[in-house]
Amino acid sequence: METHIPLHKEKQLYTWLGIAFIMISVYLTSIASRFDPYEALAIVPGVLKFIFTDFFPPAAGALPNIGVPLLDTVCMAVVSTILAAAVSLVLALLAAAPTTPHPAVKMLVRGGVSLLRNIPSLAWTLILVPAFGIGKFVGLIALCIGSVGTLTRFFAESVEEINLGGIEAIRSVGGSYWQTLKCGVIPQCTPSLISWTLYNLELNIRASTIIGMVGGGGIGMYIQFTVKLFRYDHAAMAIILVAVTVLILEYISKKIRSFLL
Amino acid sequence: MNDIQTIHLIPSKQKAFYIVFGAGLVILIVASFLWLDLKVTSGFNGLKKALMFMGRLILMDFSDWKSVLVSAGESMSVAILSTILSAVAAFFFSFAAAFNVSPQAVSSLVKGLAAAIRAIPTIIWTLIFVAYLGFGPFPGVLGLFFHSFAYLVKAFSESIEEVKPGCIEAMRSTGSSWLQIMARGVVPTIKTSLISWTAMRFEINVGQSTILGLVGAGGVGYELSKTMRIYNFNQAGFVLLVIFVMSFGIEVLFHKLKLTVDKRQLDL
Repeated sequence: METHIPLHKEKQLYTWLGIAFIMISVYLTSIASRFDPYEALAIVPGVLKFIFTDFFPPAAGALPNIGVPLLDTVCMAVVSTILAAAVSLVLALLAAAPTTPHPAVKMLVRGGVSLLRNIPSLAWTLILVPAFGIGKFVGLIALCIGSVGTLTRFFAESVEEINLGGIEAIRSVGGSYWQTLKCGVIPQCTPSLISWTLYNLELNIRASTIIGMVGGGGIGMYIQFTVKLFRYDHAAMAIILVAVTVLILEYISKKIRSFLL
Repeated sequence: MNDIQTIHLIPSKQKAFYIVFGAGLVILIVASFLWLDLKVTSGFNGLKKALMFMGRLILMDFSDWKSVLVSAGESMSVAILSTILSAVAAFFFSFAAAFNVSPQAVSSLVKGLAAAIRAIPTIIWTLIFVAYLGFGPFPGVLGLFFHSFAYLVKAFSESIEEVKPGCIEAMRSTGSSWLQIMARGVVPTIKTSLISWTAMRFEINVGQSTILGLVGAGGVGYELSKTMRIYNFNQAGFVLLVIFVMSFGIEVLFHKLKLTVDKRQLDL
């Protein structure tokens, strides 16, 4: 005798197992993070009241104090992205399979950048503040570290996605390593590299806001400062301007990216 | 006659773009650098100190491992919980946000709201909740939930919008109700992309959950700020190792499961 389970029933079983698994995870993690769904719902009116009475209306008087730190934040993001892109290009060529001088170099670079990437830039800021002191410099360095980690990985992936036929052709007519890079590899992946750089700029605008909160200078520092002084209306003005800046830069970056790809 | 033709590797339209783009870039970086007005000499002194501190980070102090690992578990819980809650909530809202299955006005409203929430970084949301609720992982869950929710609404609604109009049309012509079209037509089509986006957001949330503690929301980030407040680099080294293992582990796992999407499609 053979038992026969119809296909859709089997599928249903997996669906229920999945739902059960999710329910159990929610239950366990709520305990671990002391999350209470009733409390979460109960505080909704309080939070709304808090946001709309303490944060609104945003203080127009804060505007003169916001301009300089906001521009600092944007400049930190721009400089760190471009510096990191230059460093990452070199590292990515070392880390990508078609262009790496030796597989061992590839592994070493990939391991190194994964260390940079997987420790958040906020954590880098925190451990670099004792060395560089509070301010824009430490923020810039932390952003660069994080960006090199991210960009090297994506650049290397872009280089690995190129069509190897062209490379083969240049090599077969006697092109040197540099000539292959210059005429074969780089032209093929430039749009992708620029696109990733712009994506990283978007990330850095957000990141440079938050690293200010642990001493990286810029608008984040202002927000942290005003929240600590309970001047929520001033913080609200800064937060809204951050949001507007993020949206504008994202819009520009998206336009350029859609032109490229 | 001179019949030699050069074929440019890069099309001339693109070349013009690159030149303009490159020039803009140079101006931008020079201007930014001048604006920031960095003290390069003090930077070199800082670098020396930084290298010294790095040496101390590597000599890890494991003595406090119990409380660090408990905090790491707390961070992980915050990430898992906020991802699940936001995915479920975003699933329902994404139908309202997708223009092909929802009225124009509703779609614009939900999308605009999601964009506004997304434009404010997770940490700032958390800071607001910490200001209201006090310290602990609870405001962290709420902060992460808010941002993930808005992010997933956008990702999910874009998946719904990619469903072929023919599929919806065909079901409508057989007289199916809106709910039937969604349940039998749209959801099965987009299921895999929903899972991929949720996985991708989970990866982000794990990374974010480790740093929420720096603004007072508990977890392993709180351990880091605690050790750094007293300049205990040896203990901080171990905390950093735990943070690295958490986020690297998830990255490797999801890469193996091929639950990846082109991240450029969507902003954080």
